[in-house]
Amino acid sequence: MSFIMLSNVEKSFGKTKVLRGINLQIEAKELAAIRGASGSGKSTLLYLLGGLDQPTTGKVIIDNKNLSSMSDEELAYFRNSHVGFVFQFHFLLPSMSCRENILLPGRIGGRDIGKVEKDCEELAKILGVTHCLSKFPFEISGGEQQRVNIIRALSLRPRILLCDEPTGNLDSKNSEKVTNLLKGLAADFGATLLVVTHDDKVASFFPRKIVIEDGQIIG
Amino acid sequence: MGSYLSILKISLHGRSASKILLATIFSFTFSIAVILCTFGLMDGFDHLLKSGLRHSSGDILITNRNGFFLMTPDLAAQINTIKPLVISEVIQTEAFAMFGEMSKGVLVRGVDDELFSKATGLKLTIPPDGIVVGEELARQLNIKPGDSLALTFGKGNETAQSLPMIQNFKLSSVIKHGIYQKDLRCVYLKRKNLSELLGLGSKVNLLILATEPTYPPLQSLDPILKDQQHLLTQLGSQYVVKPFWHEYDFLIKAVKVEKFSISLILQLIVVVAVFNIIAFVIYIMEKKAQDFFFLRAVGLSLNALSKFWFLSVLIIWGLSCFGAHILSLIFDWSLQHLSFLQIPGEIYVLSALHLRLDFLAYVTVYGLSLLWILLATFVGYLRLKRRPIVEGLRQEFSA
Repeated sequence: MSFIMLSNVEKSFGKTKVLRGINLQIEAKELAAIRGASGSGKSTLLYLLGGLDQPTTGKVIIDNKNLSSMSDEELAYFRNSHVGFVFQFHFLLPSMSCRENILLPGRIGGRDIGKVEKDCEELAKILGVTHCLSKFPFEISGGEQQRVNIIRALSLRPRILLCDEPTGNLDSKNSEKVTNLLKGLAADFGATLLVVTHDDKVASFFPRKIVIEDGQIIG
Repeated sequence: MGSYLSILKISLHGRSASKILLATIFSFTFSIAVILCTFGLMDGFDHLLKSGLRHSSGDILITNRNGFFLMTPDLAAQINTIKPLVISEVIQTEAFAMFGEMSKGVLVRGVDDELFSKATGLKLTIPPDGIVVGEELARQLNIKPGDSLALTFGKGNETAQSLPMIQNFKLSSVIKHGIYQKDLRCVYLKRKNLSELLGLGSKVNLLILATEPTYPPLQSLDPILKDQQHLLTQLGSQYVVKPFWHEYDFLIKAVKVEKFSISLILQLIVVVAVFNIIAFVIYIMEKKAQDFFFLRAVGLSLNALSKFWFLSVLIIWGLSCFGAHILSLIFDWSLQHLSFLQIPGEIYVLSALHLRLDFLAYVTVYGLSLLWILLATFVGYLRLKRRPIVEGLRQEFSA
């Protein structure tokens, strides 16, 4: 059985059908890009995979757990323990230092903060943002903010790393850099990496491309 | 706790959020304090009025429809069926008190000072030819102990019965009843002296009974009412038996009605404070929705969000209640010590007033305020709870 399995998944918002009969299998530690035009339903698919939303019909099974039948409490735990999110807008909270931002998912999940902090220091060293940890987000550059964002997503060692247009705000050179960084880190952490993008070039860096159009997987 | 503090820190980030929260807490504190103080004043007034009346009136007053009467052994036996602690025989009449160029209509009471003191709780000592007057009367007549006060009675001397009878008395002391009108009107002298002056023999026109101990203060008036009913039956229609508060019964009833009406009106103040809380909730919802949805995305459950909401509401409410309690103590202290805040005795009958708040008053005021704050914030909480994370993230991120 695959690590991620979607069978006959449909998602509607009111009368609008966003996803239609999605069947998808993704193996553990696989690196894949979900490509599609704006409004094709790729972000909705990502949110279903991350337990941020429930399908209207069909099943979303991850690591033998059926997300479709989980309660809010169970889904929240799943998101906290299994999933790391990297959004297009890094969304670091301005009220906290970068270190506190990184530790936030750990605090919400009631984790051993000392251990999370140690991991965060190591990751910061790898990504070259150690000097940013005690600073506030507005005190560091955009590139540094994106790297802190990635550390936060990886802080709890998730089994799935979901990225929604992580290079949306970057030029092509930096897009490639960030994409390679995500691939390398996912491989190091043994995480399944799914990156939503509308950019063909970014998608070309991944061994598997899932193409979505009008709510259906076409390739 | 760590996650609670993190969420709190996020919620209150920004100078305006902290300021609005402080203003919200202060307005809620002030509203609760206003209600507490009003309840306290009303209860304080009611209590002071009753204890003041009792302090100078005894528990039960007996008069005869024919005016003066004799305290016969038969009457005493009938009264003793309720086992009164003290029976004080009193002659009560009206007169004019004159001092210098001032004169006042007064109520002259001829009493046996020891028995009267036991029956009423007033510490009254009258020398054989002396007189004791109420504090306010002494102030208005500008008379001091040792001065001579003339009393003009309605009945003239034997040789001039159609003329008023004037008699001088030496003022021995001044007494405080705690009731303005009594302090203004009452004059005491020995019953024997007044009886001789009026030629009444052993007759009296008022009996004052103490049926309950002076201390501790009465919590319920029921035992007195029961004794009153018993005496009414026992003594028959010739006698009028009344409880000590009958003279001011209308005032006590008015206070009760006023308390109820004011408590309804004061809900408006709470509503204003609730609007402030709603404004704060709306502000948080608008400014911090993005943060909250992000927290939900990284694993904050609705259950944890509910706990955060409930704990925050409890903290705001707790701080407001504590603040209100402090404000009520300050107000009470100010009432006692700041002259411009003291209630004018001429208007409110009582010269000194303080807040009196019992457990029920606290429970009522704090309980209702908790209900209001829960209702006010629940709407915002429901909005946050019902909105799906994805919808929230999309809207907030695109904003």
